[in-house]
Amino acid sequence: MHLLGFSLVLYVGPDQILPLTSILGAIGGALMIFWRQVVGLFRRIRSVFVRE
Amino acid sequence: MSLPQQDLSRPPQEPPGRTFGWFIMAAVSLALACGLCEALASLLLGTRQGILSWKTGNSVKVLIAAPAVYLLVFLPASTLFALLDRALKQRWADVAMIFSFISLLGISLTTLMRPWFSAGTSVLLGLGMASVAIRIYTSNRTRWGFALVRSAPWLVAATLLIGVIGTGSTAIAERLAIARLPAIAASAPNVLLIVMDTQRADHLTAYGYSRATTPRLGRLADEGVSFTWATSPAVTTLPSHSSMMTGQLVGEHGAGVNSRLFLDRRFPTLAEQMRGSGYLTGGFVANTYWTGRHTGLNRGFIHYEDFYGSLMDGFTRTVMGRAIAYQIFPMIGQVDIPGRKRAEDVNRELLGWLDSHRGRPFFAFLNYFDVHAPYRPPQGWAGRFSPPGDSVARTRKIEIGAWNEGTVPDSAVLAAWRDRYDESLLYLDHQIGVLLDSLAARHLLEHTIVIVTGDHGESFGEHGTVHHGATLYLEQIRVPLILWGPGRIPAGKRVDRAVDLRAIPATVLEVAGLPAAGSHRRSLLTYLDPADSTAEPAISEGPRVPGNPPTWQTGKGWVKSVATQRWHLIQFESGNRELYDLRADPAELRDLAAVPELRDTLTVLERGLPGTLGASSASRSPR
Repeated sequence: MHLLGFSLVLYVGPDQILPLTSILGAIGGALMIFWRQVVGLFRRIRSVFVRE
Repeated sequence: MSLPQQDLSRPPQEPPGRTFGWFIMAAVSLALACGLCEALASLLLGTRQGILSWKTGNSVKVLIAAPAVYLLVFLPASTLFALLDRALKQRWADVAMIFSFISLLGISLTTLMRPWFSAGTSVLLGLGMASVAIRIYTSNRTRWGFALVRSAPWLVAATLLIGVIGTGSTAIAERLAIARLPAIAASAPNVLLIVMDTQRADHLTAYGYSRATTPRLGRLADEGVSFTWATSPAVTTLPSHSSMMTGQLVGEHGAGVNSRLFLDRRFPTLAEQMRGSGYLTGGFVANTYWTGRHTGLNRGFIHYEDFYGSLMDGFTRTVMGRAIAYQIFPMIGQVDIPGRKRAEDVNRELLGWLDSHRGRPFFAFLNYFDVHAPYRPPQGWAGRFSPPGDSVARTRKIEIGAWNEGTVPDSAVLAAWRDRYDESLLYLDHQIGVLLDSLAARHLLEHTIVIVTGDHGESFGEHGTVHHGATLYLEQIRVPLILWGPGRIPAGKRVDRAVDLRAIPATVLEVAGLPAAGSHRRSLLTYLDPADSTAEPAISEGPRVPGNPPTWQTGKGWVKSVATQRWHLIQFESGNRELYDLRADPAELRDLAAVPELRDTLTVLERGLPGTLGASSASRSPR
């Protein structure tokens, strides 16, 4: 397990950072745009499981 | 004054009407706030080397430039939104304006962080930021609309104050640095290091060119020492300048290697050593892409003039300005580098600085960018060598060179390029003459050592390449090198032994009478002794550049070369070698590496090459 973690650290370089941060940034951007819809969706899902 | 409050539990209010004045004032507030945001982000990112890219270097003057550029864009746009508001009477134009402006800010900020975010992500984040801003704004349009207008005069005052404090602090820091300089003998010579960016040696008349391109440099060579076989340590600007400033190989200092687009702090620079000895140090550079302060080449210079040489350069110091200047202007025929700093601008900056700092020996470094592609000689110089009606294929993009797709144009275009390159050189030679005359008029020249060189050459179709950064053949590595200094440098000497530009720090320190601490190179002056036949190998290196065309040597892998007065060995990462006899074959057309009789020559040359290809700096402890 330690070896796997160490290998992952070694694997992360500039070429890997750009896609990773781009994907995270894109998710952040989409969340900001569709915030109300996302919150509404979570509320609806929550209402299925939690009776008010 | 109390602001109108809105109860969110009630139904939404009727959107407030907006006057023309509201749109203007809101645009002023948003422009100044957005401009300051981008300026601070730019300065903050610039504190860490390697984040800002080759086009996005900046200085504290961005605190004034960015708000000004945002005003330039937002004010006309706000009048359009105001007209829309009048025409459509839908009362959403204010929302649309704020959404557009905040989107632009968001895209600009994330574009500055291009190492982390792709273009698509920048757009998404920009739209996301604008969406959040609009949710806040529409929660109480009356209140936020009022706040936007109310904040305009405060933001104007804050912008002016921040701009004055920012730029003023730089001037104060320079004065303090000069006050802290150690004492230096008044008799110490001034040193002027002139680098002609992209200047291949064989286009100078003094180096045997058939055209009279360089009458003034010819005189300088006649009155000083010219090195006929000087080579650059690299074939692009940043690594070559880094070697000139540190005396190190490219593989040692690592600038320009593995996407590291800056000179790190491991090796002392020539400017640091000169400053530490009491010299007034100033850098004046026109290649703002690769010698700007974001590259680290400004280390050791008390004063460094790179960006903001013109209004257009100031415009391109913002993300929006760059997008307009590089993407839109070429469509209307503006295909020269936006805000290109000409030799006369560099001269004016240097002379202005010298006039305000008299009485102490100076070390000044100049980088002229006039002969670099796109080949655009100034008016009055174009047409000196090119025939009337000569036509370079009209393009709709700015062809900066070096980073092109690797295609070689037809011979007519190449001939036109050569003509314009030579015309630019003629202009540059004239301007160098103007500078030397201006120094003489100030009684400074007689105490000044002048070194003139180039950072790399330029191809015009030789070996299937154009521009530079592609190969280590002579047209890309052989550069002029002239030393001049009345009473200190012998006159009328020619040195035919091969040297490379890593010798510059040791040479400058020797002529300045300073100890060459840490420098392992020999000074160029030692080559003037006819009894001394020893020579250090002249090394050039080309790091592999991902994205370079595979037809280029540097597109396939690392490449390094060693030159002597007669031989030139080029070695590739693949293990292949090429050997040329420069005396018999100066165009390097016949590879002799496989000739059995030259095996010993090959072995001797190989010994001169750095031990490993690639960055070898990890094994050294320089400072």
